[in-house]
Amino acid sequence: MPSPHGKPLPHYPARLTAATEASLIIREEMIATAAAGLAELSDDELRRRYTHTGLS
Amino acid sequence: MIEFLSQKDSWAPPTFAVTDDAEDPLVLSARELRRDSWERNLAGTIRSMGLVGPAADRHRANAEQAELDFLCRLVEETWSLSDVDLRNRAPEIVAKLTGGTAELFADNPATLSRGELLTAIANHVAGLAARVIA
Repeated sequence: MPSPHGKPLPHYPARLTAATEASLIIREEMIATAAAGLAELSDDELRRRYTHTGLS
Repeated sequence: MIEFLSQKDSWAPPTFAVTDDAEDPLVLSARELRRDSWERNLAGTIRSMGLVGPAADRHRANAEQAELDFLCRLVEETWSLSDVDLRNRAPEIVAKLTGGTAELFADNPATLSRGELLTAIANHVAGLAARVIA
């Protein structure tokens, strides 16, 4: 990615810390749990919840 | 996520990333916790082998690198364990990372998910190290 001055930015190889990776894993687990809960809902229940959000 | 980590790590600002050639903060914390027993073992080995001068210095440098390599491998291995393996091995891993500290690292490890266990391990090691350094 070029810098505002037109020169390419230096590349600094980096990796996430173990603690940050752990927090991302928790986030994935929460999303997976929510997705599993949604998959168990009936079409009617899904429709009811969707319209309840006011997005329809 | 920032809010989450800030709550968990109220004793120190969270570190999200490190450069490729830097050690993970967790590894450095574990090294501090293990330092006393490591120093005792090293001194005993150097004495028993009769090493002095540059030979003793070389042995110390090699031992330091070996300790860091061991802790890096242990953290990498821990973070790649499956749910079941992590739950079974968590107490053993915490003992290794903290130099055998018997203190419990979580209220009830059996009820925690993989992510929660990893976070509990990281927080426990970093929290103990912060107390040792302070």
